[in-house]
Amino acid sequence: MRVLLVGGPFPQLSETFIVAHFRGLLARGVDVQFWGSDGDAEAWAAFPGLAEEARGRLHAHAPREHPGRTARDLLSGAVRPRVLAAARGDVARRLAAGSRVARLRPDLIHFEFGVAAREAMWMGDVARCPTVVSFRGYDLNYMGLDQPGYFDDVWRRAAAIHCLGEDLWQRAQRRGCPPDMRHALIPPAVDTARFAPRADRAAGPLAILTVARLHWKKGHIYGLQAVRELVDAGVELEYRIVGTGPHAEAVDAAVHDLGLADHVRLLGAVPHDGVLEEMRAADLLLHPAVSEGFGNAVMEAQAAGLPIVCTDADGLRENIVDGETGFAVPRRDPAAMAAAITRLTDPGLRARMGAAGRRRVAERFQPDRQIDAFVALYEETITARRARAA
Amino acid sequence: MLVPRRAWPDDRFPHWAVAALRAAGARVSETGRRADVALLPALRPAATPHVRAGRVIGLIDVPARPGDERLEGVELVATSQALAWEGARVVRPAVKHGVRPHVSPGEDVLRIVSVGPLHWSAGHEHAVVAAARLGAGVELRIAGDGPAREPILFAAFDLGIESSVIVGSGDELAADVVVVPAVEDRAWPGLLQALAGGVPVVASDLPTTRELGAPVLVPPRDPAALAAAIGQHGPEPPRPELTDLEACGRALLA
Repeated sequence: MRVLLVGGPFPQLSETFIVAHFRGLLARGVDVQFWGSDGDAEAWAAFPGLAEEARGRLHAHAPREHPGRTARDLLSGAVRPRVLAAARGDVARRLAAGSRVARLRPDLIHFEFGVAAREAMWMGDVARCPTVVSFRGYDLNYMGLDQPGYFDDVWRRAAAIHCLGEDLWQRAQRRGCPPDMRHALIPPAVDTARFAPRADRAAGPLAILTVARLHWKKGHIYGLQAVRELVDAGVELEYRIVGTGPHAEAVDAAVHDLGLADHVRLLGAVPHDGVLEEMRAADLLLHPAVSEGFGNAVMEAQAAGLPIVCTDADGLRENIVDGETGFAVPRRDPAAMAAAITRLTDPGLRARMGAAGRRRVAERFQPDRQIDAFVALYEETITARRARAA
Repeated sequence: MLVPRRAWPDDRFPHWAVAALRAAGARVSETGRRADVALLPALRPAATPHVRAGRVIGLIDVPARPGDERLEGVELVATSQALAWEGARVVRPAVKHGVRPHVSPGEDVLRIVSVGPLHWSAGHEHAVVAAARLGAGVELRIAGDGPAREPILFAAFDLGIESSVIVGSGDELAADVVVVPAVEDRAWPGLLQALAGGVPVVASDLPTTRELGAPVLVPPRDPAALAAAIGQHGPEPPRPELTDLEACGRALLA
């Protein structure tokens, strides 16, 4: 079975799950190819051995090269000579891309992100194979909300979709996906062996950790408001935030306005090994998101034996077990977050919930099970297409 | 007169100052490097342009935060007393027109307008949450421009009120109530428009909103308090002096 994965830069430090997907399929004997752009040197260095595994399998092209679209645009619009010249180049490049996709002769194309698929569903037509589209959160949650029919082309042409959980499947239907669409709910996976928890935590102030990009959807401001409430209630704490991003100014301003400069440390971007160290030094993970596909950091923190306080946003409700591996509180509710964290000032409860989380991740979110599920989805989709063609 | 657009962060370009200076008879350019007078942000500029001007005014329009670089060696003008540093004179912004009271006989909808750019500092998400708390019979218009539409649209969709939330500014606004859910202290032009028109206003309790005389103040980042205050207060006497652009422009150049 030859599967063409379509994504962005490969590899990418922030998308280790794509590399894991690629390697997992290869290990199963799937002839996996990748259509995207070449990752930078730092990213390649972070994945030893990957360059050798990917040799001859990486096809560097932007995925939005529709061979017919520019020609249609030319025919339908007013054309000026300079635009025409540029567009001729575009058409040539896009036709070449289409030809390369066809020559790869994949049995199935898998788009790693719904937004990329929107502009590239033509690839299935030129390769004459079925397409599977992954939805990982941001695409269904907030992309194109003011554009009716934003994903209609995907719903019309995809043979199957993959969602990280039930919440995203429900959202897909709310955004127009037919309820009878072939779909699979395959959560992310984590290798628990990499997340051995530290046995003895240092005494001292309650160590609260958040690992999340500084992006509005991560809800950092609500987390900071919760921390303000805890400080006001006399809880001794240190709050460390790992991540960088476009919302940095807003987070900085909130730390300042809420008078939290003595309690909060903004650590910026931290390499993955550094994140593991942060998790080993923390008492709990706070994930205050307002929107979240599933929450890899939450899953990894459970693997590291940390109890979780997160919101009920989207897939987070499927990620933890409320009351067992942590607490899921209403999103945008700092008081509820503060109350849940207060309960976790009890070291015994932290230890019980942390152990329960690690057990659950080991049982439910194993990489082998994830790859099994993808292979099954591919096989079913290809079989269904062949049966229909016959 | 030069107000170089590239010197200003998008959410802070002083459109009001450009209008006021023009009303006072100044020839204003938003591009170029030379002028008799240049108006630059005194804090957190988007870029530091090479401006050659006989006189440079540094406008203090946001509160200083630790680590901020301040424009030094220039004449300082602050948009409120609360924002002013030592040596700065205060010139309150003026606006072209006020927000009109919403009058539509037979229409049983509370029309709320949330003012400020589409930027985190304006706190529009809190207005969306407040509107969701108020339930049916509410229409919320987010009257601002800018790139940050996603968090607002998402909040509306997430809270199931997407059909009641409109994002985008209109020319002349009409409202039953104006909300200023800002999380950063500024002399928000939208607040001045509401005060000028005599429309009921609920604003975040910040030093400058207090100084400008916003009649109802609620804690910033508190949608529950915002929702509770909406619709609880009647109109205020209009303040037409806030639309005196010419006087504002003359004060800037004084």
